[in-house]
Amino acid sequence: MSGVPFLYVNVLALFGFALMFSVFMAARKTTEIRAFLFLIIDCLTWTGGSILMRLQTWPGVPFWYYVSLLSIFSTEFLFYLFLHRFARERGNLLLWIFFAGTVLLVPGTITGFFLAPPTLIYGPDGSVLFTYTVNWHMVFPCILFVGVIFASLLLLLRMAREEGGQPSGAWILFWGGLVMLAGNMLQILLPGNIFPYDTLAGVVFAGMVAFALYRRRLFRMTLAISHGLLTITTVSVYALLGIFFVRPVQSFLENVVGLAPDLSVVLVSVMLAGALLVTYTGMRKLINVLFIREEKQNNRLKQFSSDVTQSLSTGAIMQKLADVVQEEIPVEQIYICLPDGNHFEARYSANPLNPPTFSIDRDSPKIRYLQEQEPYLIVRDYHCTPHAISDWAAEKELFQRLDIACMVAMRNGTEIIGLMLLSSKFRGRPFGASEIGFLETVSSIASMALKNAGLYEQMYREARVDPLTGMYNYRYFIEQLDEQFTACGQDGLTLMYIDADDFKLYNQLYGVGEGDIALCRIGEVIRLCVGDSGAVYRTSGKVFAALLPKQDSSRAQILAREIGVRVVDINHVRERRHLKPLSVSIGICSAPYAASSAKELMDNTDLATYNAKQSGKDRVVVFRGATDMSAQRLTERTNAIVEHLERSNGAERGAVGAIYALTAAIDAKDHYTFDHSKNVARYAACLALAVGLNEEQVYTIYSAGLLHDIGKISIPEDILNKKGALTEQEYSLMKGHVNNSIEMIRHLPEMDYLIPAVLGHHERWDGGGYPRGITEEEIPVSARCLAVADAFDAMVSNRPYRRGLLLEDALMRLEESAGTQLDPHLTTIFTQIVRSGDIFLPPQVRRHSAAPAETA
Amino acid sequence: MRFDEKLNKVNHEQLWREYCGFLDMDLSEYMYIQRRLMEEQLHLWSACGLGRKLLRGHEPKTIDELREMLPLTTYEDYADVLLAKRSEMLCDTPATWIQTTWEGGLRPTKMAPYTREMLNRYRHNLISTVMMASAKEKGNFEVKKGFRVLYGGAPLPYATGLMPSLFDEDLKLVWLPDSNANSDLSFTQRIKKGFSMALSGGVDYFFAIGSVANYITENFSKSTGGSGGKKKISFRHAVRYLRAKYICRRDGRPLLPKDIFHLKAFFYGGTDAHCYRDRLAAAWGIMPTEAILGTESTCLGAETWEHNGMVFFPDSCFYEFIPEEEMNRNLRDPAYRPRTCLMDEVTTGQNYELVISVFHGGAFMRYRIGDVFQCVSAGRGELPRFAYVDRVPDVIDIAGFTRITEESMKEVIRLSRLNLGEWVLKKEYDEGNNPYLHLFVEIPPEALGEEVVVRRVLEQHLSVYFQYFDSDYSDLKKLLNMEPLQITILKAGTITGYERERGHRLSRINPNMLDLQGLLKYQARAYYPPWEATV
Repeated sequence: MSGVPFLYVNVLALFGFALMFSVFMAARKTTEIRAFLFLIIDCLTWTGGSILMRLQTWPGVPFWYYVSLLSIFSTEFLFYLFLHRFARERGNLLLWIFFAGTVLLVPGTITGFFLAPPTLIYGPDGSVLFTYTVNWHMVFPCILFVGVIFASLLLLLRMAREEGGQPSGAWILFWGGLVMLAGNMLQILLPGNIFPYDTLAGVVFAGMVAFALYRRRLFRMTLAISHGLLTITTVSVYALLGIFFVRPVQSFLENVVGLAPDLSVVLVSVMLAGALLVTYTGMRKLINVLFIREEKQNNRLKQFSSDVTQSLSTGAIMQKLADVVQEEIPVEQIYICLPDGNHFEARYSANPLNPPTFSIDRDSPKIRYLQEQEPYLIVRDYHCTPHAISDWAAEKELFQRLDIACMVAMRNGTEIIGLMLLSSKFRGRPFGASEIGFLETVSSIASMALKNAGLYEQMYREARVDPLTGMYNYRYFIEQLDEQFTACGQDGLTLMYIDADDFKLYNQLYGVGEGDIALCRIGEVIRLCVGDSGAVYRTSGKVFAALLPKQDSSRAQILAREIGVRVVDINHVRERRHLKPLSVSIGICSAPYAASSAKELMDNTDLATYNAKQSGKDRVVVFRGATDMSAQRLTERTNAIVEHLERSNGAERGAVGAIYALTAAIDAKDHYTFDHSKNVARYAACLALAVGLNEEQVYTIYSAGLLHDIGKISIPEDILNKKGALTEQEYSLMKGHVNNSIEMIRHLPEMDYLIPAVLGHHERWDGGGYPRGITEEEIPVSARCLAVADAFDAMVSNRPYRRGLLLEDALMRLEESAGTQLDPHLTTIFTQIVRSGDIFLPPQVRRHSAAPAETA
Repeated sequence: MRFDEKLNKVNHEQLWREYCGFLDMDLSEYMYIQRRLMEEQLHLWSACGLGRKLLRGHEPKTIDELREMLPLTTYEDYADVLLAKRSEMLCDTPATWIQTTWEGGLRPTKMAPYTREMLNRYRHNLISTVMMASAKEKGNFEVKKGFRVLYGGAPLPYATGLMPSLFDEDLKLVWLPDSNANSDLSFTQRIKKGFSMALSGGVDYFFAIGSVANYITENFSKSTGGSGGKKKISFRHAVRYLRAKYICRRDGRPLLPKDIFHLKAFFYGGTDAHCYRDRLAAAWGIMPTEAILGTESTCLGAETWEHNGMVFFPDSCFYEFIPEEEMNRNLRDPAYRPRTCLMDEVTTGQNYELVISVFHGGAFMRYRIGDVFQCVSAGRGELPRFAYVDRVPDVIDIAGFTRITEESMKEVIRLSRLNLGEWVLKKEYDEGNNPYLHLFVEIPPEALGEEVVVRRVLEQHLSVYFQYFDSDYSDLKKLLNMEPLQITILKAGTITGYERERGHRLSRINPNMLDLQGLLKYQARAYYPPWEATV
């Protein structure tokens, strides 16, 4: 192409620099990358200027010579600038001095004062040689160059010393600088040399600098090198090679080998194409091998991030974390510890043969190090820090025994969410910078996921766990019962209720505190006995439930007896002998043998428990069929509800207290109204239960029953106890008690839910009631229940001005009022339960029914 | 990895951080280490037989509870366990037992157990000490494998004998001489041998207690006088020696060690070391660095290159300090429980008696080692620095070689059969800053006519019995190159009369200066008939 020897070296170098420039232009611009780009631009102008000078391109040799020389003179400063940025040096004094020196060289450079443009000598074969005449003026730039090179070497040595056992590029730069220096020395010192050693050294140097940047993870190779770029590079290189080598090879084939011109052209073309193909394939494979790890690492990170962010289970997240780390880093063992009080408890071990049975003190110096210093800790390096001196011997021994080489904190700000402990790598190899980077990334991802999962699990636990006994609560029991009933199907599901006997008495004797202790112990006994065969729940104050999947009644009965025996033993120990012995009544029912739905299973088990209580307590009763069970009377269930209401906690307790305070007030004024209120509350609650209302509605109705006549406090006693008929004015005043009641109730906290029931208890089914005159089902069901109960009690109660009706008469009157005054459906049910004796009646009412002659 | 391997593989900055990094800590970090290691020690110690015995049924769970429940201890409290070497009563099996004298010849030799972990930390801290002593500035230290150490320490089983053995585990140094390998030699012979070795091959480090270092230095001229027999001497040292001789003769001054040796580190310690500081610095051309090592306490602390007080190593012992007034009150009233403060509570300029609890399975808890330190700087969150002052006032230690208490003095007088009256013994310093014992003694009137009571005779007579009573006393005489006991005879009845006038008993050992001056003034002005003095 020209007579310039080894021009292809310069062209290849130019190409190499251009490639690097394009690659790094795409990278994120840090100060180091920017400084490197300046250096590459300098190399481009240097090599480009040199090529164009050698080709004697317009505007001429001197111009391109000065361009090239200016670039060469700037290289030292720009390299120092790069080192300065790479070392993250603070002081800029030297930098400014070198910059000023370089600027001062410019006039001398572009005037040829230091080195005049070369003289061109044409050889006989047409080749051109560029000869330079050096004079003493070169001393000036040389002084600056020596100074810059010396400062650069010092900086590099200092960096290398500071890096110590963790090299991250200083030595690479050091050797790169030496290569550059050696190339330039060869260029100058070899007599008669025409090979561009300096250019070649420049390419090697730039490559090493790029590698140093890569080692420091300042850019990612996968982002920089694409297959398209590889194709362009390979084709360009071959095009250049073609320009320089096709003709010589062709002439060799024709002249030396003796091939025909056509054949030689074909052969050269085939050779070039083959070489291109081989090179491209080889390069592609090489790049894959070199950078596949980074690519794989990225993919793993993406997958891991996606997996753990979707998981709300700490166990699953720990498993995935350990898996992804073990895929990337060859370690035998990984432990993961999570915070628990003042410790980090080992919760996960990658090797099941080494169970996680240790903990690390939160106050440990290693934890402080991870909090205050780096988020990772290489144990070997850590031992060389002053932090290590406060390690306990036991801690050192633990790390030695577990062979822990690296510890990574999963941090959320300064808070440590978890710890990952990695054993030594195979053959004790050190952890590399990329591995540490990977660990930091995965632990950062995992920390967020673990935090979320931890919060979720905590909330999940709290929503399902009874705070006193630490057992699952009623809510979770209902969920699980339905779930297990469906899951077990024909395999059988047994439900067991364990009801502590005489527990109200126990509380009264020893106080609620001791009662709570007893409950905890009973719960613990049940949990121990049930073990893995089922789950235990605390379904109400003194009742526990055990749900036993795939177990039948007979096995459950054995278990129940064991529970009974152990519960009795609770207070048989020396320090608790002063306490009353504990016992439990246990009811058992199994599906599908004795229940066809979860609801039926609960009801039947409840019935069995009731029977156990009824038949003397401290025993086990298995539900075998409805025939052998006496139905639990509504009275009992009402009593249970009333008892529950009285023993309730929190806001409910306040409300109950207020209710009893108000009823006491009315008792003081009018004893009849007080008794009446209690009776109405009970009748109405019984009725509500009988019609299948839920427990909350029953509570409401009972409470409303207690307060439904509270407004009578404001009615004068003479009107309340008047023997004759009321005047219109008195009746009007009497009717005002409903609104009075509402006025009183609505000012009480937590009791506004009673208002509908109280407000509507004088409404009539046919709309003739007061205060609003609403009809039928516009009247709340709670108010309708109260209305039936109110009417019934008013009829059967003795008043100063009349005796109470006989029971049957009262019931008949009620039935007559059904559909006019009262809800017909409720009235029918009420009369049925009264007649069947399922409802508790006060003694005087029972006497009325038992001795009609007397009442007659 | 051994330290000499680290020297090749790890850069100096990292090594400095590992061994001397604690110097850069702030006080809160330092206290964190103290408290944490103390919690470990409390856990170990309170569970062992010795701990249970001394705690008398208490079960302290925290450091504050321990300070509340356990009174300060002395060797007396440990004697039955440690003198019998009852290892089963200790936190951990001792790797070795180190011994030292206990009140001269009055009591048996004290034994102190060292666990393996204690030895490890001792070794680590010794290397830190060498690095600090050899440093010219932070991180710039001179430690190399094969450096030669002129060593004036006693062999095993004394504490200084541990030093060569411990260094050998981590760093190969040449000991001049190895006291353990030459334990059959007498003290003087060892020193001579060491010096001879130093002359022939040079010396890089010099370690001795202050008085021994001074003795070696003062005998330098004699040792280099050429009468020591045939010496193997390297050519380099021969040239250096001849050049030094020439220069000294030319300048008309005596040959000093600094003319021949260029020490890289010089560290010393012990009682009265400060008396020799300036003369040693002048002779060796390097300021000696003070370090504090003890039998019960291991290596406690050392000065840095700045020579502005010792920093205590955070991982040797848990440090408590009894303020001077509390200490004095306790001396007057032995039943009084003195208050202690911690490292983050000391104040500049205040003297303190040191109380230690040895970490890493050590036996001693809240133990009064009997040394008084002055806090030379503290505050602003920086590590406090201390200077060694002396032994506690009721013990007189001269140059680290004697421990004289009131009891031991009485015993010497009893053995000497001299008919002496009341006396007080005071440690004083002569014009050359050399310490000595000053006995102020009364001669009873009845002895005046019957016994020789000339001061010189009394001095020599008592000196003989001191040597008999405490073998170290004879070494002391050689070391100081002077009579360590001087006597001032008081008029009979002076001490009693002074006590009566002042209304308190005069401390027999180291009475304070005011009392002593008062006593002498009282003697000068008081006249009382002899029969009154005997009342």
